[in-house]
Amino acid sequence: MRYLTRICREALILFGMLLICFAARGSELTLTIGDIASPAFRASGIRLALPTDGSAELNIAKLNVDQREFRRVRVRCARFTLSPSQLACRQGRLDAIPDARLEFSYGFATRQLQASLLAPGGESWQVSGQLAESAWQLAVQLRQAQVRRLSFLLPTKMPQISQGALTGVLRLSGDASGMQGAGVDLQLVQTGFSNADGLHAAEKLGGKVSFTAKRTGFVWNWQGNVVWQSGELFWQPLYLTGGHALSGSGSFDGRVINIKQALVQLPGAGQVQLTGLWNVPPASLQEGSLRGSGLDLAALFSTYAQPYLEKGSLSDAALYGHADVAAYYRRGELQSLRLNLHEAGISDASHRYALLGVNSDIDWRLDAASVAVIDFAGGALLGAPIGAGQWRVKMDGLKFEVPQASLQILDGSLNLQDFHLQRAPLPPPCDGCTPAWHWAFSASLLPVSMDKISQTAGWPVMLGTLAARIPKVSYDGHAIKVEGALLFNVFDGTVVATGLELNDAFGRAPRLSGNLAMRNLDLDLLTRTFSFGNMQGRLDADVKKLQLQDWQPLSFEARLYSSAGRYPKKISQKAVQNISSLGGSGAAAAIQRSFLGFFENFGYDSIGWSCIMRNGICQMGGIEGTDGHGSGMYEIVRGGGIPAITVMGYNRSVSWVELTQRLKRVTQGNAKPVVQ
Amino acid sequence: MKKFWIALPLAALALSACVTINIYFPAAAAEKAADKIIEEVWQMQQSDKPATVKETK
Amino acid sequence: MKKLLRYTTAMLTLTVSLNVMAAADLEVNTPGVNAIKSSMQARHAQLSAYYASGAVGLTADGMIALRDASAVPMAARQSVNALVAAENQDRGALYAEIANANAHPEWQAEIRSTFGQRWIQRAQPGWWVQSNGGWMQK
Repeated sequence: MRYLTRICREALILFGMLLICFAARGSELTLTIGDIASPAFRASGIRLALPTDGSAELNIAKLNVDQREFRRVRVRCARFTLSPSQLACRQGRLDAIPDARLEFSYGFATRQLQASLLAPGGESWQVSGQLAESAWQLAVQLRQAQVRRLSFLLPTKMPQISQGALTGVLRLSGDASGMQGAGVDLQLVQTGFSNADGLHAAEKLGGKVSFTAKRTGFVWNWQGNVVWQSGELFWQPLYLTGGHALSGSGSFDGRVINIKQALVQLPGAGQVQLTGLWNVPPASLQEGSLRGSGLDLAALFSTYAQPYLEKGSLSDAALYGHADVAAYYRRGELQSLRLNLHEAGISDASHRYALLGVNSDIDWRLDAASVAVIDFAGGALLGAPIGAGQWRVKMDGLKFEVPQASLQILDGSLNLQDFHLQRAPLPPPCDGCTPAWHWAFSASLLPVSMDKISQTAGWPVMLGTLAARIPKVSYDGHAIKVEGALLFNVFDGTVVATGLELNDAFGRAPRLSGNLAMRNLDLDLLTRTFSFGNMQGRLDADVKKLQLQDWQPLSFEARLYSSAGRYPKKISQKAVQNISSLGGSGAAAAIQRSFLGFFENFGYDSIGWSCIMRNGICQMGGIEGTDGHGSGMYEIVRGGGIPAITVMGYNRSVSWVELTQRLKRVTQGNAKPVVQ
Repeated sequence: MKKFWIALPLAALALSACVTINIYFPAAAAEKAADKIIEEVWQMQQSDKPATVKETK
Repeated sequence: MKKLLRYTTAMLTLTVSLNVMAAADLEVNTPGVNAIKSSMQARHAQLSAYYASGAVGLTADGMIALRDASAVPMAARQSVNALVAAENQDRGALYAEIANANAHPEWQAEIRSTFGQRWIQRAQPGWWVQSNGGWMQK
């Protein structure tokens, strides 16, 4: 607005100079002026020609307004009058807008300015002003005014306006000390703009803007109202459509915009009230508050937050429910946040986690401690349902603590102790070493039945339980580490998982590493569960340096062997055939098919098998110490008792994919094992 | 003759040094791997595969 | 003299073995690579139309970029934006994963630049690719 008055004044100065220094030459008056310059405005090569037929022609070789440059600007007036009392141009033409008609007049004594630009299609721009130094006023009346004609007022880096029309009025008034009042009442229709790459663009924008400002002393008091009725806007990464509205009032002292109150309508999400102090020179928020009640979390999150979260684990999430929010921001930090959640929820599109029916009254302060009680109705974690629960969260600034909590998982429960969440910088090397959220807790898992777990995971039904005592689980921004052990009580034996570490937990291909130690597994239960021919006895297994990626084995060193101690050892004919067939077409067992036919079960002394898996290839071996047969053969089952059987393997390497496919075929039992 | 015996190991050393650079990053293998993945991701038919996979050594 | 000869032979043998290593294939068949690959494969069905319209182009550094959003209806720009971001996240993970799978994490930058050249070379006619810092249509 100040800008407009400046331009008007500069125009006046120009006319003034014209009057003072024109000179006669022949039958035509020609006047040339070198330069007129001011910080925002510069014209050079100005020439005014006044032929004797009463017309006039003004040429400006180069005109700079702000950062824009116009060359060869020419205004022609068919009837030009210049008298001591008045300057007037009738039936004028502006070369830049050839089909528009320009008229203007200025009375030197009355200081009345009238100007109008009329273009086809009912477009008109009318300026009328009373430009007395002591009390001036200027009004601009617009009708179907093409917005693109104002492009030169916008900085060059702003998107280019392609279409749109304005109807309404703009009023400015002031006195010798400057502008005292301003008012805008405009209706915008069918406006579109876009920058070159289309990342900041709008189409068919329609709306109303009304704004008034009045100066008292050094302070401007303003109030405004913007209603965005129709159209769509893409301002990377936000995509918004009409229905938004903003109204507010406040003051401005030249340095700080004080937003005393503002109300923002977010379509589908609700209403938000704002207050704030905005520093103009460094363009920063000094202080602000936000308040909204009954906000729809689904719309709020998906429209305004999710577009910014394209990389995090929340990018696939959806929120539910309603919230009341009151936040206060000051000195670069959030100072307090009051959040009332009503039946809120979150769920991940890939079904990794969900928490539903969350109700809570959270009153967080940066500089004071408080406790929040969070109730939830249920949820799911990696496909397993979670029951209802209540968590008491101790909050102290950016430190959060849950001393004791439990999650009902399947028929067991996960009890958490000393859950700590805080924000701390990542240790180098890291991405710019920006602070990340770290968390840690210790936990115990009260027995969950394995048949429920296997059902959930889609495994063959196993009996037994899973329990765990975990001294510490921690996340440092990169990896989840589990100290201590997970204990599975399955197949009448135990499986202990240690050294578990999950890297890139929320990435495309999470990487899990750890060790498994299995002891005293009952082979009878095991072979029944997986319908592998029946075996009796006890089995130990060690899986070391296990690496899973995307939950598929990447590498490991596994060894299976008969447990120590005395117990019945029997292997069925079917199991022998199955073990043999695992060797594939190239593998054979040192057994006689004819001999096999006589007996249903055989005795054995010990079983052993090892596989070192790397790059998709499993390097196999048998019972420890049986590799010395020279021929590369190894014992998988060593005979003992009557009738005894010994199974030998001689194929040392097999592709892991091949091996698991064979195992699947065998356990599904619908393919006849091939024994060579 | 003597000079030749000295020069030979030096040449071999130079050669191995040169090869070390080659080994540092197996460009040909990487191109082959890239092409394989690109074909799968873009689901290209083998027919439009240009014969540009060069065997370098 | 004999010692020297043996030394030379040993050198040559070493050279040959190193050559063999260089000729070997890069390991790209890990669960991680496969997971990323299938995610990219699924996304390609959506992206290919945008490559063809010029909205999205292939960059020289093995990534993709929103080149001309105005080729896409306003309401779809946000989803193209998200597709590009997700694809680039996968591509970055793919290059890192191949380097890790071959036990040479330091190869990541070279793998990326190799891929960058290959994506561009294998791009279909009409797609936009980056060359010498500017966009050109294949």
